[in-house]
Amino acid sequence: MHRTSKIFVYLFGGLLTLGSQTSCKKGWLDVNYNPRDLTDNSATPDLILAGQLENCIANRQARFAMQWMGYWCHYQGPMGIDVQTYYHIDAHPNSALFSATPAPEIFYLEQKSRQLGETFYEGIAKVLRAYQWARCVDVVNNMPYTDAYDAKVLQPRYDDGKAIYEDLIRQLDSAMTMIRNADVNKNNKLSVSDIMFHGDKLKWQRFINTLKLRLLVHQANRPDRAAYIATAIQTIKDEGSGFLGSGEDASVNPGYSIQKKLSWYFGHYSNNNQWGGGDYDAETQVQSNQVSHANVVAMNFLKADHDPRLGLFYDSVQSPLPPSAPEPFAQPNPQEFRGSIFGKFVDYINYPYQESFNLSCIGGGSKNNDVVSPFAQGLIKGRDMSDWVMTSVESFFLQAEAIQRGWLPGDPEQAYLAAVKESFRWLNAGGNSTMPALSDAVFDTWYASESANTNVSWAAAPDKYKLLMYQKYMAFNGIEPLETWTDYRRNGRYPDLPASADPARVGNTIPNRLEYDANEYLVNAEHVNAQGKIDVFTGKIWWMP
Amino acid sequence: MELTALCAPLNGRLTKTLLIMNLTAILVTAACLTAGARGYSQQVTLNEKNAPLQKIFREIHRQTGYEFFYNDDLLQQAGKVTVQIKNAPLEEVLNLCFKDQPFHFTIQNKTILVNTATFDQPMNFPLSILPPIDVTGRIVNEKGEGVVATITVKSSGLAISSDGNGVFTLKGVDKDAVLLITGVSIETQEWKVKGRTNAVINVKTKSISNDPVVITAYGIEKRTKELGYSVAKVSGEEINRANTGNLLTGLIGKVSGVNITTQSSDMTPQMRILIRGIRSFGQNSNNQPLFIFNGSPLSFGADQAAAQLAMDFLNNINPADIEDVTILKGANGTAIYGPEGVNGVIIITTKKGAKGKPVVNFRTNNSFQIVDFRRENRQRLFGTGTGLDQYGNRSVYSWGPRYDGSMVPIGYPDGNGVTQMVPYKDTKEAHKFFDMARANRNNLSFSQSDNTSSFYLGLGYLSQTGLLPGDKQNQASVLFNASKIFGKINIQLNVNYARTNDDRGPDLQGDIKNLPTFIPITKYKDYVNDHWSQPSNYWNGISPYEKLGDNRTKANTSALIANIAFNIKPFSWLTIREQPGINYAGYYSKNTIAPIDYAPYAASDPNKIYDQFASVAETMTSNTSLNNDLLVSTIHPIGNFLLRTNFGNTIRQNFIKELKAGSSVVVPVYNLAFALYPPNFDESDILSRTYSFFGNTLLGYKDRVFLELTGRNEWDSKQAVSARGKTFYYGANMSMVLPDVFHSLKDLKWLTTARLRASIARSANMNISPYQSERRLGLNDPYPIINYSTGQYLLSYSFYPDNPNPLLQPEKVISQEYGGNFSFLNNRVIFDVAYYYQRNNSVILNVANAWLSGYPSIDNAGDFQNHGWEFDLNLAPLVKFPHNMSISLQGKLAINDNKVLALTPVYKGLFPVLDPSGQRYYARTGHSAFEFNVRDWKRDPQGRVIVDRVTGMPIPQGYNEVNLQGKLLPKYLASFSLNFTWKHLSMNVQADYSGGYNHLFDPWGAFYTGTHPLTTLNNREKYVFPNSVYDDGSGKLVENKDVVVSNAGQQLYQLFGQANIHGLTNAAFWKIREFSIQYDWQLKSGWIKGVSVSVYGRDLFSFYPKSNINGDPGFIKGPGTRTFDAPANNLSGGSSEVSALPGTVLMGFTTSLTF
Repeated sequence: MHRTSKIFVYLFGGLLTLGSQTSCKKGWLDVNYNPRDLTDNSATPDLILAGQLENCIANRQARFAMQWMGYWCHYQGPMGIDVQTYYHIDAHPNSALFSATPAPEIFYLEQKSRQLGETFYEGIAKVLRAYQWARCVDVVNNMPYTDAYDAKVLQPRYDDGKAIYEDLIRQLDSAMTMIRNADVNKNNKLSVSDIMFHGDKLKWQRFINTLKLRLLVHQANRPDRAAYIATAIQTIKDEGSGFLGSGEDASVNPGYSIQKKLSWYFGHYSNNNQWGGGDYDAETQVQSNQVSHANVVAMNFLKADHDPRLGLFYDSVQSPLPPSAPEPFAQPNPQEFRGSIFGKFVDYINYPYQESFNLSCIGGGSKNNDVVSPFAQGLIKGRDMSDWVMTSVESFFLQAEAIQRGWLPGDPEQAYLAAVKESFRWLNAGGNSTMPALSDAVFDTWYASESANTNVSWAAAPDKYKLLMYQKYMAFNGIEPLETWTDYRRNGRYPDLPASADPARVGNTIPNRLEYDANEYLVNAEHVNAQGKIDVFTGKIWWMP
Repeated sequence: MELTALCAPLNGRLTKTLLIMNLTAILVTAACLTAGARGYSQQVTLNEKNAPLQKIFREIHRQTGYEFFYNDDLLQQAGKVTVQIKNAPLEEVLNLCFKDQPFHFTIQNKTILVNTATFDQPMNFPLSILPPIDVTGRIVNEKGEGVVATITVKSSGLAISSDGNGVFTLKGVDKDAVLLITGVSIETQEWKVKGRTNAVINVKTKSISNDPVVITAYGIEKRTKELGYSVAKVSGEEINRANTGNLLTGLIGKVSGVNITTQSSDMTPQMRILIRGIRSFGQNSNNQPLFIFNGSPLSFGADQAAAQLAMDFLNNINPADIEDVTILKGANGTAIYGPEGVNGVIIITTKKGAKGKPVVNFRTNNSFQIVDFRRENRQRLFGTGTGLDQYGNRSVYSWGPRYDGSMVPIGYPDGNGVTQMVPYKDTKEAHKFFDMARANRNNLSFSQSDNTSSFYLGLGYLSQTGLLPGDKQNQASVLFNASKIFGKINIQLNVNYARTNDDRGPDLQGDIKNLPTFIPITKYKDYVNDHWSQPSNYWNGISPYEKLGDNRTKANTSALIANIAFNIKPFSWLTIREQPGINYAGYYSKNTIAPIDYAPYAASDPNKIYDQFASVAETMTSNTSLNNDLLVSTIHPIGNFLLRTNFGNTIRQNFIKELKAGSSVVVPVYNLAFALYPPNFDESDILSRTYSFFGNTLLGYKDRVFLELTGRNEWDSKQAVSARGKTFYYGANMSMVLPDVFHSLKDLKWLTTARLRASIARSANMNISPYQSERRLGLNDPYPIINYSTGQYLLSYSFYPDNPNPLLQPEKVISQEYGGNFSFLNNRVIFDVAYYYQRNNSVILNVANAWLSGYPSIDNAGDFQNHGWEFDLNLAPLVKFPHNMSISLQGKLAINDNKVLALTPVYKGLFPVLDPSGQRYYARTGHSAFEFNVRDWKRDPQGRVIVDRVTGMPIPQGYNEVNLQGKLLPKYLASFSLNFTWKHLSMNVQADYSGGYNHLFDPWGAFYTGTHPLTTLNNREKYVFPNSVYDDGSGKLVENKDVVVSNAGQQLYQLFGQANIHGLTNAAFWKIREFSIQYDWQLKSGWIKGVSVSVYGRDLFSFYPKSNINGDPGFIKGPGTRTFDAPANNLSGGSSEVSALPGTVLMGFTTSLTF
């Protein structure tokens, strides 16, 4: 070779080496991650828990039930939307009704905590599992559970709703053991990331017991479950921590503030909110706070019972109806509280006084508090209010039913009164939450004045169970409509609630369940078809008698 | 496998040494193979002393590729040659070499025939009684310049060559002889002597499209005959002929099999380009070709988001600077590019300085675009009213009574209790709402080049206004190309920079489209002063003029594409090209919305209770792509064989950075410091890298049969570590020149040439977006939350929705292509045909998993074929008239169809995908992708509509019911272009056709608001729904003869809107796409050398099937920015939003001056 050619060969060799060195340098290609993200290898339980607790906020997917149960409705219902017509109400993962999709992070949190030996976190993950899966079973009955979120399973099999429930109770039992025996110090940052109880073992134990009681009460009307229930009740008694006490909500608050993040409930449902935080369903063009207006069903019950909670569940109208203004239907007194009929479209040309400000918003006494004070009253107490997962009110009503059924010792009448009283206290009817006696006094006065009212008075009521259920219905207004729907279904449609007034509705009763995701019939047909034809009006959740 | 060894981890010195040894091995191998430089040129450099003629021939062949044909015995007589010449034209060199030889040469089609020199020998004409004459002449081209050509006497075969001035002398020629003038750059021509001794023979320069050299992948130049696959070339002139906007607009209809759609009517419209349909049908698959700009990739990565960036970037290239565009249509031509080139490659080459004196060119272009309201269809009989058939002056709906010309109130009362009154009659005011969009583009270019350097500077300035009142934009661009030869190194610099400023208003959605026609909309322009236009008094919400005025998005983009190429040619057989480049696009935008304070009385309108806060939103994006290509080319002739090899590597890095923030502000100071709430913000960056090694070899036999083999291996950061580097792509193609193989074909006078080609390639589609190889968790909004009293912070993460798949592989695409190119009657008729078949057996699909399944939600889960035919017919001239008048015709037809062959069993043959607007489509096994999922009426088995027994109302199918109809991509694309020239005047008409597909217009808004023409069915009187049945109560369906619909207003027609089958339309069209008249004036003296004036029109006439009442099926959105960005999506184009306009028409004129 010529000398010059040698030079060129080396020059070229050098160039290529330079090129390939850059490209072959170890790790040069390992850039396929996003610096702001975590991977399932790098995440730890304390970085996941808070969001999962937020997912448990009781009202997150309860809007449809608020409307079906007669608590709320759009102040000027649009026509033909699925929540009103009951047509194609499926629980697909992006459903505006109910997604029936427990978060995949729950199982991951459980595994990750187990790997790290953080047993308190593991216990919490099991509680989350029980809470969220039970809610989904209550809406769609049988569903994938054992195969769920398994990376190796393409088409998950459906588990029997009852079997899921029984496993959830087992999960709660093992969660109880784990939390009781956990060393809090070995659970990194638990006091911060546990935005519900900040690592308070006793509170977790009481919550677990209350949640177990909820699941047992759901199946109470099935006689064949008596033995199972008795055994389960015994473990609660044996455990001994009791249930959520007065003023003790299982509620989450990651640090709501007007600067950073509004309370979920406030953001979605306050009609005195310029701060965002609500949602908007593009398909039905309905905004979350348009739904949070009075429904005449529950409102008229409150009016009929002269219930002082009327002004705590609902606001008085901002703009009163002018005299002799046309009305689409009559509203009982007091006229400063006005509601709408669910599914009934009101033509605002002929009835111009059906705007948002002519009808009652929900919330009651306190509207614009930035910070919840002891004087805040009603459903909406302020912009930084905690979001409940399970309220003390529910704990008391569950106990009252358990006592009435003889599962727990006690006087049924006192338990009933305590439950309704807890509702008054919860709403701060007395005006100062540091002095519950004030609320009790409001209750006592009203209870005395309604002594002949069979819907209020223990003495007057012919059917004590129905009385308890009626007042549970009244107390859960705006608080826990999914549980109301469960009670309604397990008690044979009690109290009597009207179906949607939408002329396009496809059934004349309130549905018993939602349909499965329509996509399932394409991609998991074998398993979903094994569930038979789903009829939302006649189908049953397993715990229905 | 040296290539693999190269990429082994380099630990320490030993490996390095090994590496160098390996490299040396490669080089030695390369040296043995010895192949090609940067293709052939006709420039020859010789430095020989007393060399045998054969050696000279060999050298010339090496440098030019020209073949010599001679008789060995003959060459015995040859003398030795001494020649020293540099970069001289071939003819000149040959003349020099043959000067003292007893031979002469003839050049025919890259072949040099060497014969005995007979011209100075006494001629023998036994048959002729006429004495021979001497002919002296000059060969000149249309510019009057002398041309080197070969002059052959047809009867005797005697031939000589003209000199550099075109002058020749031919001795002893028969008076009636016919001379044949041939040459490399001219069209072959005959000239009858007819006794003349002095001749000026005018010849025609061959047009560029016949130039046998084309640029292929990696800038490798190839002769057409060597190509085993389809390549098309379009000149810049053709692109600019009737085009104001971007490059792609100018390519519409110019290349068969290339489907370009203008999807919006913005100032810089959204474009879509597909070459030979699609190869992948995943929702997020990228089917867009790769763009190469002056040798380096105009690419920001291989995924769909990056493809969109490249598409946006094209707007920064001034079409006036484009010399030509070469389109490599399929994976076959681009196999060497690997996954980047699987969808075809579009090579954009900008102008370079032409040899000779400096040239200054000034070009100015003005154009005017209007909305084509000829295509608008809406009801014009009814005005405002509500859905309950009741008159209401406040509703935006057209459900009121029939127009009667009376004065009617609209809207709410003002502060004085007065309600606005307007005449209740149809007007076409809304047509005047949109402006005429104007564009003015000025270009100035300076260029020059000589033997060792070239220089081109193009300056451009565009200023334009949009259809939407208030929209404006300007762009300044600079293109700089320069090259210089330093001995054996040629350095080339290409830089293009553009800066664009624009100011746009929001998309008005249905505000104008569904406005009741009696509203005198243009009267509400002055929303500041005019009483009824002010926000508190405007009859319905905020006037569209105020919406445009209050909501402005101002943006500027700086875009740079630059590369520098070093061409090193150490030996005549070896060329090394090293080309680093950068693409940068920096985008900054600011959206501001002005506050509106409503007067207290306006609160009677529920929409005007709350004031509107001012707000601001900021976006900054920077996209930087670095690339480096290294290419080593060798060329070596071995006997009858010619061997060319190329090998090299590429390195790419793409980095996308985005920062967004926005908030309402307390006062209209549009700065986040005045934020009302804590600002929302988002920051993201994506980095991806790839490198690859590739090589190819072309083997030619006697310049008539060619075989090329290609291979490439790729390492991509987007793949999981375990899956990387296992993707080897390869291809083979061959080409055959028929007359050279079958000599009998040469006897066919009408056949000029015929070539056959065939190729097969296994490439891939890297439809893998970054971060798909492991499960990720993202920070939840609004975490972190800090407790300022304790100092503790709280974080919360959750999974991104999709389940990852670390085993995901690029989609393997196997492409085959067969074709032929035939030219007849001296290239007057050229016919090209191609058939291709592409198969992708691992389509990456975003698998819609079963409920609660943890299975990977992305997978190689489909099998797909795409195939088609392309026919090109070029008749030039079609007809030739005297006085240089001629008409030529080009016709193109492409047929494309695809078929889903298989899907993961879970789908049971039906794969759903959503377009950005949420419309659902399906890819169905055994059918073409995609089909529309439309909602029809519920029907009985005979197809009759089932209505309600009581109300008589039809029932739309449910949202989730699957009803597949139509086809998304056109099956037929055709275009005809007619070109008429007469002296300096030329006229072009281009028409194109698309057919065999459908488009889904959005009929919902028009039905709901009552503006759809169908809503006047039966004059809005109740009627029995045609062809309907009802359930008589027993489950039996009986024919409906008497149950009329209970409502013939909104209640009924909103059901029509739900049954969106009313929007599904046959999307076929014929368009008179381009029309232009141009006059070119070449001036021989004076300081202006040339003047050219042209007038043109675009989309002048469109013809749609009767069923299409909406107009242009290409438009998917109207003008104006949107608050949300639709993600890039494979399906965009299938359906349009409510704001899409019915069509546009553009007219323009261009003046160009050359100095």
